Amino acid sequence: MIVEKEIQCVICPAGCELRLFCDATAAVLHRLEGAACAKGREFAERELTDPRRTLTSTVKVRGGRFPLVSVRSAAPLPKHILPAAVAMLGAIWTEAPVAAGQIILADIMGAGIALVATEAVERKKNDEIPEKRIVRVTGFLYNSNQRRET
Amino acid sequence: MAFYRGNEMSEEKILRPDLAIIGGGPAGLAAAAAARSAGAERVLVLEREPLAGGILNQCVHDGFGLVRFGENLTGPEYAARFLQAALAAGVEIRPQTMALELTAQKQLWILGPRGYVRVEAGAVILATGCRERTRGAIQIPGSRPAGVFTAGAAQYYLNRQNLMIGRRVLILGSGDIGLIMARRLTLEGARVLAVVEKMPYAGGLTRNISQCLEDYDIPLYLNHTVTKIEGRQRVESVTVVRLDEAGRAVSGAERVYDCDTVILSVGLIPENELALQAGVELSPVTGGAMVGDDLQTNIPGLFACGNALHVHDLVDYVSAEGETAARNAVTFIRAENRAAARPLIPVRPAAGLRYVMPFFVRPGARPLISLRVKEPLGRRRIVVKAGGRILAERKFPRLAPAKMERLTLREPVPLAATLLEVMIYDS
Ligand SMILES: Cc1cc2nc3c(=O)[nH]c(=O)nc-3n(C[C@H](O)[C@H](O)[C@H](O)COP(=O)(O)OP(=O)(O)OC[C@H]3O[C@@H](n4cnc5c(N)ncnc54)[C@H](O)[C@@H]3O)c2cc1C
Ligand code: SF4
Repeated sequence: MIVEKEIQCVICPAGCELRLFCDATAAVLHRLEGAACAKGREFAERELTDPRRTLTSTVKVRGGRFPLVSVRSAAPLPKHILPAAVAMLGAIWTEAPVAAGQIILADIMGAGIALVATEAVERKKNDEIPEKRIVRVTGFLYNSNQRRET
Repeated sequence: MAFYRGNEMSEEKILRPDLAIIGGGPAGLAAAAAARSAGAERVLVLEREPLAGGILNQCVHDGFGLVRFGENLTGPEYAARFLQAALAAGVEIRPQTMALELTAQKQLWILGPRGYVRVEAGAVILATGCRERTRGAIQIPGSRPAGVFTAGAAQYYLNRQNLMIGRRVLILGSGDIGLIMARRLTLEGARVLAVVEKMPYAGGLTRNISQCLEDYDIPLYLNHTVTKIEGRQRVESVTVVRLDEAGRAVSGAERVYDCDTVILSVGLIPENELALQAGVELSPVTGGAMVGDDLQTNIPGLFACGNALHVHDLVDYVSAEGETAARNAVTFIRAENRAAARPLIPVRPAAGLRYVMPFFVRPGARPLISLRVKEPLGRRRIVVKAGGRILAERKFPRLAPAKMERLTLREPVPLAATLLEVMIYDS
């Protein structure tokens, strides 16, 4: 028996609507309609057997200019481990400075895929003017910390 | 006096760059690098935030750069490429610097760490991005408890401030940011009860419906809206009702959701306070300037691009638009005789189109045309015509309001043309 399935290809912004004709176990793809390029077929086959998504999230940073660093999995992860992986990320932290592309975790939950930072976070400088403290008074800027020192 | 910064300030009261760009998001950064390679000497980017990159800094998800780089980048990764390119090209970026005032002579007043400074630039580009609509919320009856956020604000709290905004969430409006937040909140352990959309079709891209809602079994209710938000301190419940074809609430078709958070994703609108001050003509449809094919506004030497011009769904096209604005701005700066401007030809969209960008074209130009439809359509052919002549034609398997489509003219606008028509035909 051939079953029909409709899914959307999420590989590129064209967003082709794919019509899959597969066997009853929905594991073997017999025919595919609607893909504008070859990547659509690859995606459809993967969706049937081993659906994967890139994990993107954030990780806490200690001593950084910002409290979080954005991260991603170096390659798409099996879809079903995403919720557990994100929950695990909530429990870890990293130390500033963080460089863009830096490996935060070598292996996400035994999937053999690394977690990398997608942005840089500098170390907080002690003398840095806290952003929210900048007040404008009579034409020049000062910071309330420094004012106490004078 | 440790806080006295007088010397630092007095060194500059007036800046005279060739080109000043307001906004250091993807549009402004791409424009800046392109202006340098087109030959502008001094290019100044003004950015009110401490980091350039614009809204992309809080878009930690991926899906950026597929068109431009053929790579699937996250927001910060995409922004970093353009920031590095701008810095390498010798652009001066001033963070924490807000453009406060713009005149019809395109004089600019800015405020930043070096004080209050006047800027007299050869040309100015508006790349100020957009802001979120909140209109959907204002009309909702009920008390005004805490727990109602716009989708972008929720994204900022979660992705930048490490603040969780709620546990049981209902999303009103199906714009892309709301869909992205539905997935993000679910993965962060919140329960997203539903996405409620008053139109019969989604506001966001189908790929986001698929990978953000369907992947996580979050229901999307089309033709539904929120009629009441209740709670004392914090949101406690929300009433959702089905709408009939005329958009009226169907009595008896109400459902009450227990939730602590409501997220609004009811659309974006170009940020144009400065443009209004300067007297730029804005379109009531796009909310952005009514530009020609060179992306110049009605004020000579003042250009607009990116989400400040019209709301984009793909940042790749934002960058490309920034580059177009920059090249035209450099041409403007160079041109000796600006008075010799040719007459502009209006562009007329067919009835099914919400808008067509640009609003005017110059004879002899071969511009890129961007457009959006009013409602979802199946297989269609879009044709651009001047007189009887077809200047561009493209078939689309389907068209959706959420998706901006583009086509380039294959030949220039005839010199004798008086009108450019953009038509939709059944394929
Ligand atoms: C919340 C949100 C999520 C999005 N998610 C996606 C997505 O998933 N995928 C995708 O492809 N696109 C997405 N987009 C769209 C895409 O990010 C935008 O199209 C793109 O960022 C627009 O770039 P821009 O440079 O025009 O505006 P922005 O990125 O908004 O940059 C404008 C910059 O101008 C600065 N500015 C404004 N006014 C002033 C002033 N007066 N003085 C100085 N500086 C000023 C702002 O601080 C900001 O940095 C999203 C947009 C938003 C709003
Ligand atoms: S099938 Fe090809 S063109 Fe269509 S969405 Fe997938 S990758 Fe893009």
